[in-house]
Amino acid sequence: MRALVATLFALFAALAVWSFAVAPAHGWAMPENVATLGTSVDELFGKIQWIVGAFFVLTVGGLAWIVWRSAQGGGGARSALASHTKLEVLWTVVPGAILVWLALVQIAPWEAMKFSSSIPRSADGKPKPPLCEVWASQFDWRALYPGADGRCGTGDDLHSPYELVVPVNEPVVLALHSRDVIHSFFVPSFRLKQDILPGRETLVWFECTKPGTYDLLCAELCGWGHYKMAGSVRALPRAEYEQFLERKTRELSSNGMEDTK
Amino acid sequence: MGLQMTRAPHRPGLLCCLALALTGCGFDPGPGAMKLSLNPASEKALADAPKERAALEVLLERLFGTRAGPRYELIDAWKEDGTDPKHPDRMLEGGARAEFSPEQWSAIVAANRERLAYEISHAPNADSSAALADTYPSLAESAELFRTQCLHCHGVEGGGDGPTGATISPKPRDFRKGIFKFTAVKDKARPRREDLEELLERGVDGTAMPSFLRLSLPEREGLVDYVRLLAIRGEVESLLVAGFQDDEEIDDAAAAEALEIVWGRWQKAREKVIAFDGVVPPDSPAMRARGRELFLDPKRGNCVSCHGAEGKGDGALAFKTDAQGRKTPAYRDDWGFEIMPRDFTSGVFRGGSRPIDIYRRVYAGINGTPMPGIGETKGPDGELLLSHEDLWALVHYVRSLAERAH
Repeated sequence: MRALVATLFALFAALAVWSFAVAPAHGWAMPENVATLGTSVDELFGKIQWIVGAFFVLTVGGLAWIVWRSAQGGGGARSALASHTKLEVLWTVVPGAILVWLALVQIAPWEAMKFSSSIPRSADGKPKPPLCEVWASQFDWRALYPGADGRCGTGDDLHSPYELVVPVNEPVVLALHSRDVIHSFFVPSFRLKQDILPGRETLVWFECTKPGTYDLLCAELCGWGHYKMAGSVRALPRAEYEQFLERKTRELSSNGMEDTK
Repeated sequence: MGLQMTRAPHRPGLLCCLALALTGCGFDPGPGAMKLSLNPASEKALADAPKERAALEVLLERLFGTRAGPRYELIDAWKEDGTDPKHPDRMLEGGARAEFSPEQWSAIVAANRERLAYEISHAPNADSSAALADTYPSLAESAELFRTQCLHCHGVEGGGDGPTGATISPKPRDFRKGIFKFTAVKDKARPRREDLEELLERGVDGTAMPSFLRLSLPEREGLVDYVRLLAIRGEVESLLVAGFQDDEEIDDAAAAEALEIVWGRWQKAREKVIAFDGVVPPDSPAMRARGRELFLDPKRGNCVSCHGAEGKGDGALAFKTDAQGRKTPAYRDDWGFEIMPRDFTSGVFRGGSRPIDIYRRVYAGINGTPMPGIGETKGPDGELLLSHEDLWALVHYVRSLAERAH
């Protein structure tokens, strides 16, 4: 019985290593990163995964070995639990040091992503104005692009339900808003996640490096329909992005005649 | 001393876990051959007439099928001209698609190429890959999509009585009356299929109805087909029940006649599109001022009576004072729910916020609600009360109310 348990432990460790190794090939891992900031997130994630993975294999492997040895009758007589100061210091200091190290190495990516001082600047040196507003509500996403006046909330706004369209290969700043409860703007392919509080404008920025359509999800349990609160981000070359805005502007001045055909 | 560890084996719990692991925890009864039920209103009207009730059930199932097998029984007029609402994509003589323009159909094919890219690239030959791109969902497939995407709010028969519907406000639309609020048509006509499809694209802002752009175009068109079937079924049902209440029989002839009447209603939509044959007069302070004047003028726009002087939806006409002295909505919509006029300053326009969307609301009103259309209202002198310019002035004024303070 003990041998079986030991084997299961060992198998468990092996299975975990194997699943991490084959995950990317099977699409079990995160989707391909297509944003500039995502690289640092992936690097950080990779580092943490290696550390956690190594300790996982070490502890579960050690456990398996001890159980196996005891199954073989080895290991000597069991003794009452006694403290072992050196060991305790070791297993407190080493993880502690690792945590401090992680806290230090995450500062730079976090600053680049989240600090307001990191919002990309326009040619004039001022922070880039938001490309559009993104409105979250139970349970959908709507993008609101400013019209010719450059401001949202006026008559020439362009509405894009479900779909957030952005130019590729340039920094994009978004102003996130919620109409009701707390939502979270999550684009896995950009490694970008940001909570949205009602009554407050929250800025995020990213630079997408590959044209395509990416999932936009809500990552904060926001009510019964949270599971289906999906949208999409479509990254287009600048010229096509301009065409999108032109099409939306044309729709705005529609006289309805296209519906009579 | 010491803590006594209980070592009671948790066998039942273990078994449950095992059973779950083996079967999965999803509960999916599948579409089954479930029947579409009668409207509770019909049940009530036919409570003392079990024979007629049974006849109605049989007839409706023959005309429209079941949840798993929705269908249309072809009426004579359809047989003559080749119409078949089961197959809106059908090729007619002369090569045109029955309900789709060439542009609409090529958009559907393009969407299929995107959606079925893998299947198309692995098709055995060019013919079968072309056939894949030409696929259009059947009514049964669309009913299944409706089951997973729409049913939990809109209900099995489209009665707006799904389980989730009870928890949301405003309530989900009951399709069975055939009345849809936000369309591009006048005279309370039924919606065009484009109106329903656009609604799926856009969602209804400010309500629990989201955009369904994540479904492909053919899937959305298929949902339109099925929603139309549920609506027509509901209308036919109420016509037959109304006939019974007028001492008419519920039989084959009555059913065929009802289906013909209802289908006629849906066909009229195409001729009823509201459009303005000209360039939309641009927004300007002068237009807004003119719009405000009409908005407040009790003899012309008179929007103020319900929407209030500042457009906050607090006009005197829309509210009454109940016995306890509380202010409550004075009107109900056609579905029996209390209804309040839109507060324009909220910035939310459920039927779309483009000028043409608001123009259509002002022109034809909102179906099923007390909001009247004033596009064709004539004054005491027999002339139109409002010119096109006047209507657009109102549109620009109403949209200006939705602007945020900067």
